[in-house]
Amino acid sequence: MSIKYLAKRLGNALLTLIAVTFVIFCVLRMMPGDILEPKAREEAGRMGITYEEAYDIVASRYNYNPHEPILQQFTRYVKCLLRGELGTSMTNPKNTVVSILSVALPWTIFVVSISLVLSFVIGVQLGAVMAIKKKGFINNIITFYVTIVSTVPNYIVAILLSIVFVYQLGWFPKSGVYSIDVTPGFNLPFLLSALHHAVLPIFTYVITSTGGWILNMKGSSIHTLGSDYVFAARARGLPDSIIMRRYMKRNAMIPLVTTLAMCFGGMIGGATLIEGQFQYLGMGSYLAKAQGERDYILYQGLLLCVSFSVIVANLIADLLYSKLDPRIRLE
Amino acid sequence: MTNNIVEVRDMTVEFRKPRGALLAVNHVDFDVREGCVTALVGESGSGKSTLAFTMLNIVNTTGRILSGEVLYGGRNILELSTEELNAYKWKEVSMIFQSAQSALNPLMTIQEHFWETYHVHEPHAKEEDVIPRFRQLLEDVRLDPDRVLKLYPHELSGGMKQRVMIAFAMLLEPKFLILDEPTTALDVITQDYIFSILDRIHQETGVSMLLLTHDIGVVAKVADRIAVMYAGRIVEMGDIFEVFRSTAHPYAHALITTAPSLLDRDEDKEPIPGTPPDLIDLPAGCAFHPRCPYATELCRREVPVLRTVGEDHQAACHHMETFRKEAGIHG
Repeated sequence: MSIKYLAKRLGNALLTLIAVTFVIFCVLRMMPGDILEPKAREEAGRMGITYEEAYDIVASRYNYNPHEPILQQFTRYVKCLLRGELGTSMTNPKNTVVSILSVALPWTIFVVSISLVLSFVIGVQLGAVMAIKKKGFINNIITFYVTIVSTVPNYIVAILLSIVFVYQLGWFPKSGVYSIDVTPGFNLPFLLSALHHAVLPIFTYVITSTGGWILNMKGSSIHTLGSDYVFAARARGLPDSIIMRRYMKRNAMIPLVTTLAMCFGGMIGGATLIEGQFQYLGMGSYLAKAQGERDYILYQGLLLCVSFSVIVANLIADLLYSKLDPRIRLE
Repeated sequence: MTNNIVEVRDMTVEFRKPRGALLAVNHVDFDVREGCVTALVGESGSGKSTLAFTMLNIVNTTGRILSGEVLYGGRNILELSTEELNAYKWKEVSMIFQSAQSALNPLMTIQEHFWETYHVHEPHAKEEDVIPRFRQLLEDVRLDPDRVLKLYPHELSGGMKQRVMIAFAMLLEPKFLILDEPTTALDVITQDYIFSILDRIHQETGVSMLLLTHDIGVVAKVADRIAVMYAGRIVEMGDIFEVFRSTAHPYAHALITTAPSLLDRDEDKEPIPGTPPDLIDLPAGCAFHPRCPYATELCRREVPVLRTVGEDHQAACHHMETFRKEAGIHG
């Protein structure tokens, strides 16, 4: 792989990031309604003061100056970004967005990467099996499973799991990412506790997203099995095991890698309902919170981080792709 | 007396289609003489590829062999176990595919392909010991081994790929080589070059060859024997000179005389009227009768059987005497 190719890819990623920053900023400011208005009305009624007075009080409490011109807000935001800062939460000025991210992001990445790897590996194996044994018992079972799972939304699965394993059996904790009685760091009790808290969210992801991988891999494998090089490999007397592994699976997996990267990026921000159900304090929980409270600064910081993950994941997929498929190795 | 390397007996292959059963090969008896180049000629869909595939027992999964046997060295290869069959393939009989352009795994280099197949057939071999053989094979087809062994399939031109496939087919020194339209999709210069290479290989190794083609010009140049297929049946076969000089089947005659030549004018050529038959709904009797100027009630009723018409010459036509007299052919 040439430096030129890498530089080009990085440049593209950077451009995308700049565009995304701009769009997120604009879209949030374009949302209808004044965030301070309802609070100010409430405050005015409660304290018995005029709306204008209450508005100023609320504004001062909120770490947000609604009268600041939009262009000035944007330049301030960009300057802030260039220093590597994302501002502070509007509702809770003590917390910087970076500090919230540093708490939330690692846990989401932890859960999402384990879930994705598990569901990808399981999906690829089962999909390949389904492609080879076109008819038969296993195929029927998997088809049945996929049909059920793809019609049930993932948060329903989350609710079911938490009812059974948290509230009935009590096997898993109700909330949090690790118990309070362990010290964070690279030690066994902490890791075990973290895993213990992550099991159900991971399980929910795996149950609901494996179906998609299975169908993807099945389709891709059937396509590969019909190709001339598989036919030719049979004519050379290669045993089925080699044909399945080196010919079918390797070729059929290539298109799935792009999907994998996109999924990873998407899941960083997308699991609000699952994280909410298990009160797992990751990106999804904070996104929901920021959205509910109209905390623009936090919200745009989190969204920017999600976009950044998508862009990085795609960049990695691009680079990985050229490793997997010699035909892409050129620029 | 020359021996037969492969004898196909009463072969019938059926493909199930939504419209009904399609008989691609219909009770065919066919011999391939040892040390000879036999040409199997017929238009697309006449069943010549399917007949060839039965000799390696690699008929596509949608096709079923309904009856018949393929005798090689006194054994019916259709009754071999999977291991015995895998050992037979490529080692005894190898094949150059019509789809040579896509017959290689896009994710493997040429050397990986050669070594994989060699290793499967010779499990005790060491790669460094056989690389000189790989190099020799590639040199035999006028390719530069230093370069080609390291390349991926997509890095080769069409003609180079075809030569790689020829070298590949000779990898295990097979006794019988099937060439399924080996020069389709190549330009005429490359075609000629490929045939000169094949001819030299035939001279040097004495490998028996079966050439599937619809190019009568090529047949006249390289073949010792010819068989003409129409709608799943062999309608005429025998020594190349006998068949060309005293053709006994109107279809074979039409095929031979319509071949373009530099010596006569194209306007004199009479195209064969009508279209190839629908294999799912074959005409009763002789399948060629709707297109045959000599057809009578008998042809519409009874399927003609192969009759011996010369020392090494058979044909299946009810009216070959009438036809020959009218066409001015001497039997």
